[in-house]
Amino acid sequence: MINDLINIRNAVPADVDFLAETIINAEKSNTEKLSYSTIFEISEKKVKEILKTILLSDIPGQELCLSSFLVAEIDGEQAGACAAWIEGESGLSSSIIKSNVIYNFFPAENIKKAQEKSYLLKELSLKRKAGTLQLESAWVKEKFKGKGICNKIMLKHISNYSEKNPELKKAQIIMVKANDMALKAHKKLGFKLVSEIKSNDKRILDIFPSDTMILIETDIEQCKNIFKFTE
Amino acid sequence: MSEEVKTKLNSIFKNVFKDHSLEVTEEMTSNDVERWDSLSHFTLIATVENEFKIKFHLNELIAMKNVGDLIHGISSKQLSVSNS
Repeated sequence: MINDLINIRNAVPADVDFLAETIINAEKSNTEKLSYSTIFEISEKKVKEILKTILLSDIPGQELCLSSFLVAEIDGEQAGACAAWIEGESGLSSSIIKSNVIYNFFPAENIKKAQEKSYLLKELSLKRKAGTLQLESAWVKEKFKGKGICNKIMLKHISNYSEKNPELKKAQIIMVKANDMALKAHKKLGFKLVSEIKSNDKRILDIFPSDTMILIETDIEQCKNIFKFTE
Repeated sequence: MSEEVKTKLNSIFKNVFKDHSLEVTEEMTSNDVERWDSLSHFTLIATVENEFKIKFHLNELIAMKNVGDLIHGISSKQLSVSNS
C-alpha cells in the first residue's frame, strides 16, 4: 500500500536541488509562469541557482529555508515537499525576512526591476497572521500526484509543530485561487477560505500565474483529529 | 549620533513610504506602517545604505526587529567606518 511506502523526513542539504525545484513548481501553480522570473526579470535557470544558495543559508521564519521543509520519499525517491514556520516567531514578519534574504542574494539590478512592478504586486498582497503555522511551497512530482502525499506532509508539519507549541491554534496557506486540485486537497484538512484578493489590473497576468490570491485556514485540533482517524 | 541618524531616517521613511506625517519611533516595525511591505522594504534598505554610505550583511538585516535596531545598526556601521 502507498501509505506504507511513504517516508516523511526533515530536508537535508542533499535535497537542495529538489527543494529549489519544489519552490519553482509551487510558484508556477500548474502554469508556465514563474513569478520570480517575471518579477525580477531573471531566467528560471538563474532563479534556481539563487534559490539553492538561499536554501543553504537556512534563514528561519520564511519559506526559502532548507530546515523549514519536510520531504516525502517513496522507495528512496523524493516525491514531494512542503515548508512550514510559525509566523512572526522571531519578531519579524516572514515577508520582511524573505525580503532581506532576496535583497542579499538577488542581483541589485534585478531588485530594481521588481521595485518597478510594486504598483501591480501590492494589489495581491495578503497578510499572514502572527502566531499561526504557515504552510508554503507545497509540491508533489507529477507521477506521485493523487495519492494524498501533500496532505500527509502538511499533517506531519502540523503534528510536529503543535507538539512543540501547544498554544498553536491555526494553520494558514496563501495560494492562487485557480489551483483547483490543490484547493480540493486542502479542504480535506478542513481548510476554509478566510480572505481573497483580486487585482483589477489585467497586467498582473503578465507577471503572475493568477489575478486572485486566497488565504485559507484550518483549526489545528481538527486536523489532528483527522490524522488520528486515518492512522 | 543616534539622534542625527534618527532625523535622517525620518526623512527617508517619509519619502520611501510617501507619508509626510510619518514620524519614526524606536519601537516602530513594518506592522505599524501601511505601505511597508516586502517590495518597499527593498527600497528602504537600498535608500538607507545609499544615504548613510554603508552596506548591511544579511545577518545584520535579519537581526533588526524594529527601527531602534536599524538606528543602532547604522550608528555602529558609521562608528566602525570612522575608526578604520
